[in-house]
Amino acid sequence: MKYLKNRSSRFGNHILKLILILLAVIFALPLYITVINIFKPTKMISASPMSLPIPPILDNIKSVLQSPNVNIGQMYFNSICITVFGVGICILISSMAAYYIVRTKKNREALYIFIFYLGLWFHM
Amino acid sequence: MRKKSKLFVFPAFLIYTLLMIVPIAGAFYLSLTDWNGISAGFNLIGFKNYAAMFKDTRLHNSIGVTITITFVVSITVNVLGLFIASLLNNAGKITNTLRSIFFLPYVMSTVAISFIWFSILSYTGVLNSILESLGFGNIITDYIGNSKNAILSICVIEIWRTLGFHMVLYLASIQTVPEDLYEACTVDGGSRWQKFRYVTLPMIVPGITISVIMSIMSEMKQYDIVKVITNGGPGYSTETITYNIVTQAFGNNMLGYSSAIAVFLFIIIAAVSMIQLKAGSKLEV
Repeated sequence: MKYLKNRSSRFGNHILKLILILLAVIFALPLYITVINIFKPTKMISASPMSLPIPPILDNIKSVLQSPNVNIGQMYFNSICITVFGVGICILISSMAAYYIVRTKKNREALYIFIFYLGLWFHM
Repeated sequence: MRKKSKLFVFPAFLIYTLLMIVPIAGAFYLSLTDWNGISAGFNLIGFKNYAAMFKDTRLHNSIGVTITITFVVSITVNVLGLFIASLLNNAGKITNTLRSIFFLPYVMSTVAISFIWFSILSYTGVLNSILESLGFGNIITDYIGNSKNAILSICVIEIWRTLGFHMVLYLASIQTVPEDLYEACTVDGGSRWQKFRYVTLPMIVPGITISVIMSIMSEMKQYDIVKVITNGGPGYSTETITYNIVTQAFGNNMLGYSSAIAVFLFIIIAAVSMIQLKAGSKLEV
């Protein structure tokens, strides 16, 4: 009896795993389409969007790097600047504030949390 | 000890007051005026802006769209997220790989995602050409051109984007459930479903509350996907509340009126999340 139950639950496990993998494949499809279409000429994208890029072409990447409208170095620099300073200052200051809030009195804690929640409720 | 630790909260409080509380208070004040965003002076007109909101059919439509998106997305994301998380929790070796696959869309920027999906869903896009090559040419439709399909498309994109995040939230709270509770359930002869229903679910109520609140808040503030995919159109039919606020403020130069809508949205979001926090703490074990 125990043996049977074990086997059936193992069978169920496999089915659940199969469902998971299927979901993951569906989930990854848009990303797959994006990545493979980087290496295709435009004509081929509309003709057969799902097929593998044979032969792969680097024209799209080249045109991005050479386009005068797209200064990719500057763009990356801007994003990295914002990320580093934003996250750095945020971590420092918010951990300091959290340290105080958890050590303060209960009713005052609620007040602080309310004030900091305001920002979440208001849309940017 | 006390004095020193008060200094710790000071920088956060200062930055927060300057960048958050002051603008929010400013929005409250502006909502009582008729400022157009450019002129030097403006008049206080009391609650006329709020009264005008009742007659604004464009706003009502955008409220309807926002509610639809919020309902569809937050229910799907939470149910599916919990489902996938509980499957992933005992999937063994493949857990980590699958978790990264599900989380990948959330890492990418929303605007980039919107462009990817635009190229998939547009009339000459990837999805339609796949359907055609498979011989389903008769069911090809415009997924963005008409408002009903467009709202559904926005929901699908948003679900695809945020599902991974909520799944990770659920996975994290499921993994904190102590193993001995499951053992006790096994000893009592509990099935897989009973383990989930009577052990996992009650133990992760705080996680559920946070996940639901975050999904509802972020859906009510939906803007970027709508901006890229439909730009509010056709007509005004796929505008969300936030999109409406931005176009009223900077397109139609009615900053006072748009501030009133912003305050209205703020009050609704605050009320919804308060109710949920209360309900969540009641359900907790």
